[in-house]
Amino acid sequence: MLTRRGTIAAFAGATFTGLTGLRVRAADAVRIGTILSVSGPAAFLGQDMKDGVQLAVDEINEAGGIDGRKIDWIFYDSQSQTQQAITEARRLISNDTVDMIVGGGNMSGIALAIAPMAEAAKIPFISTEGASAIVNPVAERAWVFKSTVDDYLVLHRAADYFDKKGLRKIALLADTSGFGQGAAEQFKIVAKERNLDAINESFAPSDTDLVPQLGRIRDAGAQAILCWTVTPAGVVFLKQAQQLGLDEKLTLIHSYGFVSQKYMELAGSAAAKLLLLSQKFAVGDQLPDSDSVKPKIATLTANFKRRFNRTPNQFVAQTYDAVYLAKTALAKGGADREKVRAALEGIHDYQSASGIFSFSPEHHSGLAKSNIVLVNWANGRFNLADYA
Amino acid sequence: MTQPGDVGDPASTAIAPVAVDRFAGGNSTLLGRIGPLAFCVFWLLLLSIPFVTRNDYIVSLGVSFLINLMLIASLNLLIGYCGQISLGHAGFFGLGAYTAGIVSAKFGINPWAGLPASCIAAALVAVLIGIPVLRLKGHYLAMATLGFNAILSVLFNQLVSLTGGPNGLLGVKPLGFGTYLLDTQARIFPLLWLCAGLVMLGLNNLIKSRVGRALRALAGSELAAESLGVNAFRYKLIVFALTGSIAGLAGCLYIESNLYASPDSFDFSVSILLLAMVALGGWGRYFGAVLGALIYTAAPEILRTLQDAQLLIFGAGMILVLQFFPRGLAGIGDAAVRLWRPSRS
Amino acid sequence: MTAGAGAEALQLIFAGLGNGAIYALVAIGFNVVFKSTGALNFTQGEWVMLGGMIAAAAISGYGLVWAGCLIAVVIVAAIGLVSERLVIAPLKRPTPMLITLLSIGLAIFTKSAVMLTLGKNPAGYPGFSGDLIFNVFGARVPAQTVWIIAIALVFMLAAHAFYEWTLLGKSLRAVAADREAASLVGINVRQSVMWSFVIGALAGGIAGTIITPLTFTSYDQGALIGFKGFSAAMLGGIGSLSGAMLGGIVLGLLESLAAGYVSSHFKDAVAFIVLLLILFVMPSGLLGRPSVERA
Repeated sequence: MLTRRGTIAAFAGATFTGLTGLRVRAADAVRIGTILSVSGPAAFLGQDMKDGVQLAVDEINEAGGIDGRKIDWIFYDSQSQTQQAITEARRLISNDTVDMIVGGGNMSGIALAIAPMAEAAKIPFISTEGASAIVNPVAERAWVFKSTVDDYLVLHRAADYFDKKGLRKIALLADTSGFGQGAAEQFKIVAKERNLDAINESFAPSDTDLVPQLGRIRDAGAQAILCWTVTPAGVVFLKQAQQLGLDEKLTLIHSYGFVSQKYMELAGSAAAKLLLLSQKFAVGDQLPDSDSVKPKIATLTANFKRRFNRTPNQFVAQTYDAVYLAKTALAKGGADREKVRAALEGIHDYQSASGIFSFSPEHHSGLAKSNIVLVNWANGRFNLADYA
Repeated sequence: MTQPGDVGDPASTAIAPVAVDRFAGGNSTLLGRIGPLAFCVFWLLLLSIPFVTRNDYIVSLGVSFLINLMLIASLNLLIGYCGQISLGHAGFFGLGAYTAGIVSAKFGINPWAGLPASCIAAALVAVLIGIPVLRLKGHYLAMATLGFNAILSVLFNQLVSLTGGPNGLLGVKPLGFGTYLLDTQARIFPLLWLCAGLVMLGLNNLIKSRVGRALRALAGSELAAESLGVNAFRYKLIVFALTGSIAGLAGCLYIESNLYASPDSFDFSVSILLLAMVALGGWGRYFGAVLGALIYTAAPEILRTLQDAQLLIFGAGMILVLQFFPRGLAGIGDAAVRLWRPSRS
Repeated sequence: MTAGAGAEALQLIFAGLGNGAIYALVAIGFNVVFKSTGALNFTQGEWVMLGGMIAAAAISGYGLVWAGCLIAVVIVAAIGLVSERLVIAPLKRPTPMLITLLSIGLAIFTKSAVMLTLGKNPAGYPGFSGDLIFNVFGARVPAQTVWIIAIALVFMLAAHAFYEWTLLGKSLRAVAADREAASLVGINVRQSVMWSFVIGALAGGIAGTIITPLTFTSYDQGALIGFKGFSAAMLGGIGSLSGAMLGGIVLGLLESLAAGYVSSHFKDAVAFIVLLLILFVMPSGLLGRPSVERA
């Protein structure tokens, strides 16, 4: 009975602190809130992205903080659930009263749900997710910025490659998540602008059989397949394309969401002929020395390895850079949120491991097309295949 | 060691021996005695939330609690009083949410129209599913609702021009009175409080009514009840339609309080979690739903500090609660009464 | 052109058969537990996921695919046993509803335990015959698909033999047919529940280890395959062994053909609509006993 009463007391105590979130605010600290999914279906991305934030925050604090003010970092796991993320965003905004939100659940759908809340509360939000709609139309997203490249630009980069190789008939095989469907929408625009003959197919992220879709793509006479997913179904795509012999005849390309060593190892020989649209991070050491991003990648790679004892990937860079973007703006804007927002908009030619960021009042996703390269997988690593 | 008849008979009508609720009918349990009064006090105190705090987050937890309560109480009616398992409650919830959202965001109709529209849509679909399925004895409702939820998930994701697809439905207009818009958590809270209160009151009356008596008779023996003229199919259909429409109402209020909805909030895993909450709170117990909704709302907030381990703790907790209190947390009240008056157990 | 269309149909059919055989195995697991307890076992899908995850961990550690898979199957069966002993056996009144609800808790627990121990990354390993692909009249069929169909068939036959010819199997059937009568003739009903969990976990574990080379798995994949298995069991007629096989195959083919000939966007919806229509017309399932009562 005693233990039960103890449990109840502990439970009540936890409820109280849990609900009220009594957290003593360190005097003169900058509060940054982060929402990422480190559990649920998107978890395999979330952990890397969380570690990226962690590394950046620790580095900044060790170096004395932002103008002498330490970062007080608050992290919530959105569990790949939009509802969970909405509650957490409310908590960050009205309970924890953060100065900035960095990271939107590593799912475009979640970032899209958080964006209007940040907008309404006038809190700067740097999304580390992909979909263009997160920051567009900019008129309704004055407070929302994005540290990833727009699908529109990535698809244009792919079209550059198709032009070079004389490929005209292109199939987009996108998953039904926000990530895939966002690309499907942009692909219609880009295909028209670049005069490509487009074929559209989709699959559910949980699908284990893509033979029907691949059969139709083959019968339609596609010359290349662009696969848009971050889920293991992308490995199934590779395996079954190989099974149908498509890897011999067609150009297979995965999007930047699939640049993961783990996936390449799972795909094995099916990834031998694959190209990936990637940020430069995965092939940092193979970039020409003239590329200003190269040393940034080397620094982050070394620091991350020292801290976490594993090799970082571009998802680490995505959030790591976002924190440094936040730092730059917070240093300039101080305690005035509107000034911080304006400072973010004013960031120009900012060199980072993901590439070169330039924001403007009209443009809230800061990476240009030139930050995308094509890579392949050989000898157990990513290699530069097509540079600008 | 062997206890014949212990494990239920798979061939029986429903997989739940139906509970007979003490709160609605009699007053022999602890909760039955102090319950109604305590509940009224609790309910009045609840209304004060948006007036005592300016913290939007705390108010939003109150909003979530009220929505969860409507969902869990309606599911509890179906499981606890009809002995039917639904694996598609989140589907009805989503149907209501998207109906209301599309009415205001895509067709530009006054958002208040979403309230009846979502209730009616959900009830109609429930009747449509119920007619072929509820005549059958067995797990057909579980199967049909599972399929229904899966089909709806596909539609929410794929009918992009209507639903916004996987990125969710944006542009939902808030409810309002003239220029006073219910566009913050604090402003919509009283409406939710009222709706959830009416639902809880209605359920209490229903359980006491002719329908409730018929359900109890059916629970005792379907054959006997039918020979006395109780039409089992009709009563199950009524309850199922009512369950669906309450979930639809909850969906409408959900989308109006978030002004946003995305498909992942309505997939079958949510249906399963709701089922788990009914079980944890106490199936077939009026107050079970209140406890279930409290847990569903508070558990993620309390367990947050455990990060990755929170689902593990939750799963283990659920197993332990059900092992010791097979009728859920509401069953603790019974256990207390037994301790208190051992002679009359 | 017709040859191409024929090959394409064949391609879809093989893909459907492969997935269908997996659904059939899961459906059998579902059925076995259902027959002995009357409960819907939500843990069934998690056992499939466990099979794949444990095999992947074992294979990445020791390299031998066959050995890894065997170890995984044994471990999953053992987990089924322990789960029943810890969760179901202590119950004073194990009603079907209580067991069903407990299995939800068990599924949540299993899933998060896997996440904490084996990680969040998707896992996979090479097929039993590597990446070997057969050419069957123009359709390209991975050897693993053939393995899957063969192993599912063997399991089915073994299960049949077990229920027909062994004492334990016969006693399990007796319990499923009439619990009270079985207990009157001295059969331990409680123990039969334990064995049904072991067999269910075994079926799930096997399904998980043989499908993972083709589809990969991760800790959160269990629920989905569990529901497919439940659907297959309902379709075949819940409680029937051969019905489970047929239900699984029909569901697998439905999905594959719907994606191939109707729409990849709406394939799950199409498959479920057809499935529900079949159930409305034939409530006892394709091979179930025609004893469904209409009220």
